[in-house]
Amino acid sequence: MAVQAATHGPTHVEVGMSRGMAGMVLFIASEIMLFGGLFAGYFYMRNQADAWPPEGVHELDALAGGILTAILVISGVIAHMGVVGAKAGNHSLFILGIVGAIALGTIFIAGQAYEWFNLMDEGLTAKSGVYGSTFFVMTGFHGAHVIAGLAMLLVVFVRALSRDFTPTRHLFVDASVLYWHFVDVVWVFLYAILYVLV
Amino acid sequence: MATGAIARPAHEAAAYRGLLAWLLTTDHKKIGIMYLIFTVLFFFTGGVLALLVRAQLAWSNTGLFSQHAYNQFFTMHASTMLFLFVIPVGAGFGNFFLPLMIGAKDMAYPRINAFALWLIPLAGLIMFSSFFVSGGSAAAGWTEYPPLTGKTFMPGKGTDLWILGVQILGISSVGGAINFLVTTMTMRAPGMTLSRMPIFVWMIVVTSVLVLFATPVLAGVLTMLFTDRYIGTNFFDPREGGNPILWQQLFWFYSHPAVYIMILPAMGIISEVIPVFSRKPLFGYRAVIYAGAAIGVLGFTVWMHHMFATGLSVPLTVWTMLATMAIAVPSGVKMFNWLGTMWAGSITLNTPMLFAIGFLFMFLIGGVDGVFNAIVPVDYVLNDTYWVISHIHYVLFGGSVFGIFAGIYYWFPKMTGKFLGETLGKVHFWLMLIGMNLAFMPMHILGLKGMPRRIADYQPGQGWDEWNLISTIGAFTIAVSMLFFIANFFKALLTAPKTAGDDPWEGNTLEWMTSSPPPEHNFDELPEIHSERPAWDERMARRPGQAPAH
Repeated sequence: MAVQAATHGPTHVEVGMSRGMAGMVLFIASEIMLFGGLFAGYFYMRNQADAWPPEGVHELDALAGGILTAILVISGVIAHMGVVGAKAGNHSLFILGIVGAIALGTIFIAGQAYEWFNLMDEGLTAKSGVYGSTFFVMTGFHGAHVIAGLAMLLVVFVRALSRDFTPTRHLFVDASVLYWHFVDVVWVFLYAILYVLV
Repeated sequence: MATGAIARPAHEAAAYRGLLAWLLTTDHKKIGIMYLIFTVLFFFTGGVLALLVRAQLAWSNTGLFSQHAYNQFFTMHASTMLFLFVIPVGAGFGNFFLPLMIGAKDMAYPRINAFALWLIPLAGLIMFSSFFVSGGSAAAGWTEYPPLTGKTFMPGKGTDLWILGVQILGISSVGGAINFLVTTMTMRAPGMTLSRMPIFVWMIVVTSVLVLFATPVLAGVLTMLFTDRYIGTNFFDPREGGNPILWQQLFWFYSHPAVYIMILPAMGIISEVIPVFSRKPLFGYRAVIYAGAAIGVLGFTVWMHHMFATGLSVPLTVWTMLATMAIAVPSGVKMFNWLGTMWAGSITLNTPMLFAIGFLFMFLIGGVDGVFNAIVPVDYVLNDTYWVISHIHYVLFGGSVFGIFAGIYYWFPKMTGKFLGETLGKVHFWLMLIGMNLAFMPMHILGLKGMPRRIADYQPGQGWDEWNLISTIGAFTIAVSMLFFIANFFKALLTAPKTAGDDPWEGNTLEWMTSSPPPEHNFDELPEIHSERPAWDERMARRPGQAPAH
């Protein structure tokens, strides 16, 4: 009736997903609540406003935002191809996917910075009423998360170059790309409420 | 009774010595002890601030401190006690005991664990450094309501340092919560099913879920306040379309669940202590878990009961009132579980048990006067009076702090191999119990007599003087009781022999099945686990003529 304890390593039983992925999933859950709070604040403000956007305020360009959205969504698909490559041991597909995602993510951030400066030139700033405040703080929060996601993908890239991952050991790739998908999805919602739902 | 041997991992060989062994450790037990040391030090610091507050209010027009100084003292008292003591202290106990209780070697992410620990003194330094900047520390109360916390009324840097400190503590909490959840999900010993986990572990799990889902919302709203102050956004400025009520909505969406973050670990502790000192299994093991989970879920729906006076819509008001009163149901279920455990038990009144029983009495008072607050018309009268201060202290001091001391006296032998003194412990308990009732019971009356909270001075002739004096005497009595605790602590640590042994109380849970203090790898061997009381099963199996019942 002896309990079969592990003969090496820690004395745990792995249940379901791996420990690293479980942590990332829970972290993303907390991030969802962060953005959930911001979305709740946004709708609270929007509901009590007389007009949204307030009169005389520069309207956001749904087409430009849509292009940015497409770029980010495509980068998510490409990052997923990278994971497929990592799992299949296809190193060039792996590298291509990660590099493609990083490139498109960088274009997204650059595009957003360009839009921010454009809007500021045209008079919409974080100080111009609660409309500007919500726009800049929410997109700013999201942009910071995109940059964090890019940093993780960069680490994946550097480690991939030194052949740090194998078809069976690629936890950090999975976790980083999962996070990347998360920032994609948040952006789709942000685009929907900030640009489209007028 | 056969057991499986567990090999030690090789990396334990490379160990640091002396102070470095503590500063660089990723061992959950050392981290847990440091959590407890830091947080209890913050408890004493917050206590000194409370004494300053009570000294100022001892009688009318004491004029001891300026209004601005007083505002800083009560703000930092609450902020210290809540954010730097009572929330992280639960993580301290969780760190030391959760892995032991589920038969794990360490936490899932030891380095994130160390990181979460060291953020706490950092945040404390940041928050306390604000006493030395121009304008002093945060001074708008721990709830930091705008517009009072806007740049106009709080131009100094204290509010910003407060925001930064609380933000850092939030990161620490979330890191800890993820760690506890993943540890519990993936590192339980063979046989340690979910329905065999100790109640303390369950309560840490529920607490961690609350932390995980509530804290990020606080991070968001703190950022809004920060950008309002620094970038000039208008979230809380009605002139520009903002609304200060938004702060209250999002702040309390965090801070009400936070109340359960503060109390559930203490409930977990006394759910371990009471069965051991009653020599009976916990009455209604599953009911306690379900009640804890119900408190967690309901806790997310009632934050607006802090905001009745802001003029919510009627449906929201009614829902919040009913849901708040509904929380009394699972709380009452737990109460009866604990009483049912003690019923007909062979009760020994050691210090841990005294504190656990103190919890029951004090938490009952706090729970009952909380139901008063929940009733909307009553709340309109009691809102922002000393009644509320009384309520929160019966729940958090009478509840959480008594539970925490029950835990300290109960687990000190496991952490050190030594007992805390019973005599000094009992003096500590009785003085603390008397002191807290002297300090906080009169606040009920002061509240009913209309004394508002957060006032730095009051005029004589309102019938407030006597009750305030009694309250101040009570506060200093609590302080004296803490001197007995400190004496007890150092006496035990420095002079007591290591007499505790592995299992001084005849405990139920796995932490009593290893040495005191446990080795770095926690267990040389684990028993078979086939109930929620593996240590009890093992002890029974060793006694002739008795088989474990399960």
